[in-house]
Amino acid sequence: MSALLTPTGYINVGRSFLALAGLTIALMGSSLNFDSLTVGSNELVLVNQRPISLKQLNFAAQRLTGASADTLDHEQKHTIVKLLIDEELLIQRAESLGIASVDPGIRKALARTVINQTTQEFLDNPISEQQLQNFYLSHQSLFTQPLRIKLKAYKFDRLAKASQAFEFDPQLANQPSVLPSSALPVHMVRRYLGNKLTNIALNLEAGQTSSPISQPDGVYLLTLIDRHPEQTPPFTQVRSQIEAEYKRRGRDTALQLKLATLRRQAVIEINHEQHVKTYYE
Amino acid sequence: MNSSSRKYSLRILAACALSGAVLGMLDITGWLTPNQQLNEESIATVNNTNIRLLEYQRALNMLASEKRDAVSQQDRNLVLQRLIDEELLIQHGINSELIRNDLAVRAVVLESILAGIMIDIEASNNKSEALEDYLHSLHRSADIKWSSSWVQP
Repeated sequence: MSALLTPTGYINVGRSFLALAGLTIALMGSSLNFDSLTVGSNELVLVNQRPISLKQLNFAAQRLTGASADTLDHEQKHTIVKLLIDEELLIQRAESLGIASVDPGIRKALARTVINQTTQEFLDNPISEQQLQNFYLSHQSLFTQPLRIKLKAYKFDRLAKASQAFEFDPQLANQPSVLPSSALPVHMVRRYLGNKLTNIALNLEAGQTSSPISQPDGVYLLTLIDRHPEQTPPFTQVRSQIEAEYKRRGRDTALQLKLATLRRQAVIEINHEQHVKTYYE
Repeated sequence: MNSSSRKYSLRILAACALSGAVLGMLDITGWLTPNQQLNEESIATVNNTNIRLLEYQRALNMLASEKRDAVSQQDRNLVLQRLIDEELLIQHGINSELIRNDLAVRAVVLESILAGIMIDIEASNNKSEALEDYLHSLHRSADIKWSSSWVQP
């Protein structure tokens, strides 16, 4: 002990400390997993330092036999463990070949599973009635039924025919309408008839028929049957819709947050030259 | 041991310790990891993994076939960002050990590796034997340690 306290002793201790620090840092940098060098109490076997645990055996027993591993005899358990070893060796082979990152099927399965796990974390949280009511109040426009009109549109190939039909049969009972018989939201009517005819229809009173309107594809008569004004149904009436929309948005947000976290932790480089080049190709 | 040879040994020890420390530091900071450079064939890299230009062009063509208007610059950015997102999710899945722990992913991985092996041994007369041989060769080269509490029948 007294030899260690001499100046030479201090130097030796210092050197040993430096050597030990160097070795420690080198080992920290390596991928050695010390936990995996010995078989732990819950581990049955180590395959290239990868443990196969009792939990995995139980899970595999359930999957293969439909029963817990406790109900199997030792030989049956051993057969399952051997199968798990074979699977582990094949997985390690797949890893060493880098299959997981290039095989399209595996890539798809990995991405899908990460998405499912991320969104499931959100869905596992219980949703209170208050949360749904707050969501309903702040997103009422989503649940508001827009103005709908029940309209008949009659198409003629000539103005004379349209005028004649209008004069002799003001109810136009014998004429087929080009629109579905149910009430339609205005944007749907615009899709069928275009802006000009829809704007005319919106100015009609219920039961009123327009005068003949010439269009490039023919002459139209419009009769407004009924008008259903915009209305917001009460919370109780659309509760299931509110919940579905709340969950949908929550899943999207959870995924966006996950991606934002992954992006923050990642090193991403973009080949701007190629990106610009493809624009002009 | 005389004084000069002792000094020499200490120098070697110090040099080795220093190299170990430097190498360890470099590895911890990721300097020793080969850095995938962006080349003409890649549109981006995500944690040193290339996203191939070909893949990006394929995604753009798919979008163009579904769109009435021409593909805009905004569309191009969106496609690239989606490919980066996909790569991030896949890398996260691999790092989270989904390959082992998720039943569906595990099954796809095993199917894929077995399909590859079967192609390799297609020429063999007895496929089941060839697969067994393959597994035996994996067993032979593996380090398998059994728990002392596990009695092998």
